[in-house]
Amino acid sequence: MTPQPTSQILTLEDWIRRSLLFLILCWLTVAILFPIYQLVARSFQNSDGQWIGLLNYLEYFTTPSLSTSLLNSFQVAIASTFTSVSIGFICAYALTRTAIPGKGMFRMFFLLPISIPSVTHGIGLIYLFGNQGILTRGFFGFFQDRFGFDPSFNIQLYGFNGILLGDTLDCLPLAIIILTTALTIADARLYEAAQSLKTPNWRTFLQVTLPGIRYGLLSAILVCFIQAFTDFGVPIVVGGQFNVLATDVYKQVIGQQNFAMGATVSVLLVLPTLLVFVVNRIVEQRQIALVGAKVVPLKPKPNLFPDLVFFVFCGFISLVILSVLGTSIFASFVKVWYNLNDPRLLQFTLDNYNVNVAGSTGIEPFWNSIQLALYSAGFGTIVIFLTAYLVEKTPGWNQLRSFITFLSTLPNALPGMVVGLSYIFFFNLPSLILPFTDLSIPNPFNGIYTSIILLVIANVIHYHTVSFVTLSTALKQIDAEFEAIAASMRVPFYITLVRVTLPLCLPALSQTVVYLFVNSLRTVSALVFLYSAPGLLLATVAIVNLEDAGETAAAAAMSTLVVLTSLTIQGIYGLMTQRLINRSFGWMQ
Amino acid sequence: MTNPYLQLEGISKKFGQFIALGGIYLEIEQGEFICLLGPSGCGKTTLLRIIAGLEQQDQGVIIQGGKDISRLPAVRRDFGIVFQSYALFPNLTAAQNIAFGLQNLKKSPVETRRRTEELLDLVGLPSHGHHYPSQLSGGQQQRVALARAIALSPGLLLLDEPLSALDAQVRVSLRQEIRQLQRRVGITTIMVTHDQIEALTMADRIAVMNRGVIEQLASPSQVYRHPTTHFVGSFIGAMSFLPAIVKGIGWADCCGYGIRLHDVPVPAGNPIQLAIRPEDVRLAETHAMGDNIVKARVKGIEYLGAMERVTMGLHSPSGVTPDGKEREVLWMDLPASVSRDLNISVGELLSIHLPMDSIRVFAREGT
Repeated sequence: MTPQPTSQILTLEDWIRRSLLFLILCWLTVAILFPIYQLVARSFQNSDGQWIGLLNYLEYFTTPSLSTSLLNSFQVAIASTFTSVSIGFICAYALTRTAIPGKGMFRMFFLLPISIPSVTHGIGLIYLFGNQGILTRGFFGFFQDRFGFDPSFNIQLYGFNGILLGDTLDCLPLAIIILTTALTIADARLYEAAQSLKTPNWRTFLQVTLPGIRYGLLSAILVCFIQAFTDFGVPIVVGGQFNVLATDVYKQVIGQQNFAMGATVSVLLVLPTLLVFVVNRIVEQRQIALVGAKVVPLKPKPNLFPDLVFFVFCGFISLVILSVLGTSIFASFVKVWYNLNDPRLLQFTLDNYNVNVAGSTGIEPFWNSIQLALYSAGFGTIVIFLTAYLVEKTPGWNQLRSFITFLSTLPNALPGMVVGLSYIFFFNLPSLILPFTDLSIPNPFNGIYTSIILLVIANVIHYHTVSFVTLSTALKQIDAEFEAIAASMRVPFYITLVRVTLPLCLPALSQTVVYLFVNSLRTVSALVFLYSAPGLLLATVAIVNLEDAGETAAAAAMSTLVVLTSLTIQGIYGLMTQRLINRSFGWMQ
Repeated sequence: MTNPYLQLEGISKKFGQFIALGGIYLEIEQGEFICLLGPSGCGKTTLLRIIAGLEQQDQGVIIQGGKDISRLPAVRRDFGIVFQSYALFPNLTAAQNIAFGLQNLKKSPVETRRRTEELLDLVGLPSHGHHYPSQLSGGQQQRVALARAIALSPGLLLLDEPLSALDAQVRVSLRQEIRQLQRRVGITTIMVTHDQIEALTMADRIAVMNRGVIEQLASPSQVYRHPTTHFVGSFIGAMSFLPAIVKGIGWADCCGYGIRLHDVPVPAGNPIQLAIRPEDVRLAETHAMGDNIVKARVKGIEYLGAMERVTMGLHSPSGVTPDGKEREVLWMDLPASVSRDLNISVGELLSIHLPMDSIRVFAREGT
């Protein structure tokens, strides 16, 4: 008989950490697993809550007006992925492998769409290419009247074309970020070797460049696919009669009050997303393995003609991004675009910022959004940091810690629509039936259903994964031996946390605050179902409603407020991090 | 008779199927400086972490200062620790790093500052208290780490390869400084290292570890001059090993040469290994004959500055490979001045004397 392996005595500190870890488990279970369970369960029930197996799915696939949305979603997602990754590749290549001037400026323009709501692209596109759009109407007859020619053209925005354009803009920054990273890690020595072997440029490109970024390329494709496949903001504004899954969920739930079908379509939206997400996780791991290797960074050499082509291309893409965004901002101040009988070319107004229709009163929704973004950023950063900290630094309880890590990566695979709808299902339940029994208890979480707390939780969960990864990475970089040193000096973990770990995580923490704030402000998909409480209309939801009510200018005004706030916050953050790193923290060097 | 300060009794640890430690017994006296020496993967760091409570042994008992600490977590044990990576808190100054544990003791700020300054003095950095770790050199950082480790006057100081990340010159000077400091403070110390010179120069006793067990525990000179196993002999310093058969009491045959030995642990007819350090190998008269004289062919000469190491093959009918090359390798160190005069060249056949007192005998597996 072998004696039992010994184990260490647990201290009070161990119990505190384990209790906190258990609380985190409960929080993630209630905020992720229970709602998702409800959503999936509802897709197998009829409107009266009776179990009907796969009948909802059968109905979806046998009703042509419904089942087209699945095909449409795939079509538009694949097309947007193709365009955004192709354009993104050229842009990323220009930023990393050519010697064009103005890289910093181009990079800033390319990444602009990431901090603005996707509905804003829709608004901008409507003003440019919509039925009454500036280009569609040939500058409202201005050229016709003054110069006698009509430059108007109609791209048939509403439908596939509009969604393709909008989602391409929305996906472009994601593709550029991933591909820039992949192209940056290239090893200059490989290129020098190729050159010394007199390899022609096209072969070097095919046999060195492309293989080197294969995982990055694949990852960009998968991430853009998910983004376009699940996007709600663009199709709801410019989709017209072209139904996609995300708008279908909305129309089933809000338009027809058919919650069972809404749940069914949601599940169809989740399944491909989940699959692509899993594949992407595997691809990303490979990519990370590449980053670990030591490389000599590549310094691009000037090459006049190609550089000129890349510069013009980057300029054109920047122009497109800026015109769509700029038009949506500009339009919010316009009263009259052009009037033959009026000598003034344009007439400006601020009236669009004070429109009371579609439940929206002035700019109140904007303040609601600011409030929500602040709460989400504050609460989210605290709870996600605590999660990452406990997972990274708690000794023992390995299974629980890996399970929490798993739960933390799950939200990335959940489209906002799905988070929102599943929250309606779960938090609106008056009573919960305990599994495997007939016992039912009153739903203890029902109380927050109509409050802003639910919106905060939805945002925090929706953006949980990226924040969690950012903070875990920062925590992983902190020497694990710090904890051992502190223990040897009998310093409790919370003192080490406050005096060492938190200060060292400050850059990641502030990054998380900004990320959560900006995304809480710009999202619409998770919130569109949840704002129902009176006085809780949010800016992005108001944009959708105003646009739906034909008040495009008011929608543009609301969108402008969101865009300007978001950009201001990012700008301040950019300046602050520079200052922080330069001055306050001598130890950062 | 007093009890040892630290007693390890049957410490074992497995990682999955891998046996990291296979039953370690070790007794360390108050104020002693012990080195755990061995190749990577021998379990020395695991043993140190178990003593600290950072890792939990599967079985075994640890008694420190008469108290059973086997199941205590690190926070309840009494030790200071220094890591190879320094592990200084980068956002705190040198002084704040040293005071980190003191501040937690609810001592007065004056007392904390006095103790911090005392420690900075002790490690020779009196004017560096306000520097951040990134502003200090590697050697200075490691001194701060050392001061921090002894700030609370722990009963036991654990050093995990403290010098391995430093430049060669800094390493030599810090080696002595650590040892002097340890003597002055009188703290019982365990240092993990893979560097034999470090162990030989610093330790009171060395525990040579291999594959999760301690192969020999003895003073540096004992370990060097009287290694008890083949592994210890080959791991510390250079040692030539020659196969032999026991012929009688104090008498063996090595590839046809008669070798006199002090004591042979096995009866006649058994295979053994003869081991000898290169500096103990002597050059004999060209035509010398008799016991402990062998012929060897020079295969290479390695210039080592103060000396030259001559690599030779034992010349004997039974000790050659099928293509006629000498199989058994014998090293001989010659002072540079001697070898200059001798002018030995590769291919030359030399007469070599293997002094009886310098030969170690190990059992040999198989035949």
